[in-house]
Amino acid sequence: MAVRKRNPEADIQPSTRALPATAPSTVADFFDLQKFPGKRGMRKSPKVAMEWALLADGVPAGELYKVLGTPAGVERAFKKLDMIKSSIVWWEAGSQAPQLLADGAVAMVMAYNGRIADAVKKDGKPFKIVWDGQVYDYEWWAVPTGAKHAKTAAEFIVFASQPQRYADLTKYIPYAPPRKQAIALVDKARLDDLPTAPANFKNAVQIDAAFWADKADSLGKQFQTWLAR
Amino acid sequence: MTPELSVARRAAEGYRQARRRAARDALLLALPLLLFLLATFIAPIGLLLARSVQNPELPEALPTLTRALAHWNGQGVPDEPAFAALGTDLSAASQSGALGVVARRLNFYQPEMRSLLMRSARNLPDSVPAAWKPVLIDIDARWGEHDTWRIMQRAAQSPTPDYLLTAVDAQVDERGSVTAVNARSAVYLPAFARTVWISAVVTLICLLLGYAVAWRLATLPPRQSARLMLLVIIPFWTSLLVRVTAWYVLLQPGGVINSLLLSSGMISQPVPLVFNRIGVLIGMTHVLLPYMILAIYSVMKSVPPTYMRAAQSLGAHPVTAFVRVYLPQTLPGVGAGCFLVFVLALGYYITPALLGGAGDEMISQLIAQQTNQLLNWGLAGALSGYLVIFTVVFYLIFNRLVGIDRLRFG
Repeated sequence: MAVRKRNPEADIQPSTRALPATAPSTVADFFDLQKFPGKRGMRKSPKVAMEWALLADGVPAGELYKVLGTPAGVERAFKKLDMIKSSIVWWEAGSQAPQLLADGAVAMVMAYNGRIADAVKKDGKPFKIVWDGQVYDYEWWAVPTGAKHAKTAAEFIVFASQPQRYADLTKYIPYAPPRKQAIALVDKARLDDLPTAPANFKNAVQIDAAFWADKADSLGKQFQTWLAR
Repeated sequence: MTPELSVARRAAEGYRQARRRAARDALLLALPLLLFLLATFIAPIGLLLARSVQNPELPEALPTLTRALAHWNGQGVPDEPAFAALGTDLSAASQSGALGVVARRLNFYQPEMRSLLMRSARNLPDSVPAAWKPVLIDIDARWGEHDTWRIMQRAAQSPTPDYLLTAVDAQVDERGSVTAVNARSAVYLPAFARTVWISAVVTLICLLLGYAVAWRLATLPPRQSARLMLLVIIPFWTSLLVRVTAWYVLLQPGGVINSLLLSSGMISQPVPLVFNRIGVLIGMTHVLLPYMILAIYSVMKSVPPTYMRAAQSLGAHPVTAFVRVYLPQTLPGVGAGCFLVFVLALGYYITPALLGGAGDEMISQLIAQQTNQLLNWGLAGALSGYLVIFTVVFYLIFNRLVGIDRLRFG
């Protein structure tokens, strides 16, 4: 198995049109409607939304999932989300996030960094990524048991895990390589766009897949009822 | 028997035979369509509804454990034989790859059951121990708890009422009685209520808008009416997704409608028309209006205009003539249109998904979530089953009131 690091739903996206003077710089600013008025775009899922709520409420990143595992922690996350609930525009498909921002439907949006980078480079949109509180995840190659071409698949994984391959991937989308050797091979101009760039990685949280595998069902239902409230 | 009677009897017999032949020929003609409907429509729906009571995951992956649990009396924690069955079945299932399905199934009952099973399977001893009970409880203390085993026993029951109960926010608790689920996790009953409410409101709006349009179409001379009918039919034929996306462009805060209102000075802030109930109602009405118009129009076409004139010639005020003579004659069309729009609206998915907000989720979206994201086919089947039952009951009541099966369309 090889791993390839990328960054899903990491970032807050303020449109520089709507927010002139001070720019948001932390995840708590996402929840601050006084300082930064305007609607917020969020993915319609408890994942990452609840992590952000707790982070903005002051829970240190290391204790995040311990707190979220308790009923009191869940309540705390929902209470924080309640502060902006009426201003949230929920999106479900990844492409909706930059679209909402471009339409002016929201002032800040939770989005996949690849989508925003695309919008900035290809469509020239004036978006800026705020990396504080980014929630990242690894991607995996998996070969099912009993696969017909397991050997070829393993060879492919070896091929795909070469540092140069990872470095080449960043040409197409700013997803970070999981191998340190690959960082040296990445184009200097793109290094700052990667989620793992030192400036961007200060307050990053790795999403706890085991936690969500267990709790997605029950937290999802509570999220649903909270949505409908 | 007189000769006349026997002739008559033979004629009657011949007539009956001719009728039977005609009926058989009609059935043969319709047979391909019936088989097609059976294979592509009725059978899959029936299979999905059957999934709502099936519970095959645990019995298939952990068969020895299922048998052991059948003998358990449900008190405290079972004895060593059940633990031994659990141990052997866990290692067999984990090797064959069937454990993931069971783990996910158990997670629907209680969070963290999945990690309990996976962790236990990973930490099983390599050789068969003398006693499984202390070994398993050592791996995870939850195996020594009554609640864990109660859930395992429920999951081993097939057929099961649990999906049907969950779909109405109920559950079977420790004492074995049916209770309501925690209010924070009760999503389905409010969703059903919301779906019925939104469908009813959309039906009412379509009726109010559609009746006037249908009346105009029915009373105009044929050429003008045909041209106006095009305006109804062509949007009807346009792709649903295209129309809903067009509404998004029109209704969004920076969109056409808000821009017009802002520039004309009627409002100072953009009005929220999308991602809320208003957007859903507008979108659904737009899509369902042609059904209402066509249903009412087809009945109005067959109402002779002479009745209205006769009523007025007898001294009735035009409004009275309309209400007491014309309206009752169009009621079958109104009934058909309302029924059609209501039942279609119940199952709507795309329009509320694209134009609605978080509080506007209709039951189809929840069903889709179960099949696409959570892979909980049992619950999807149960929710669909309730929807089908509700529609059938609604049809029976509506038929009793309005007599839909007496209608002819067109």
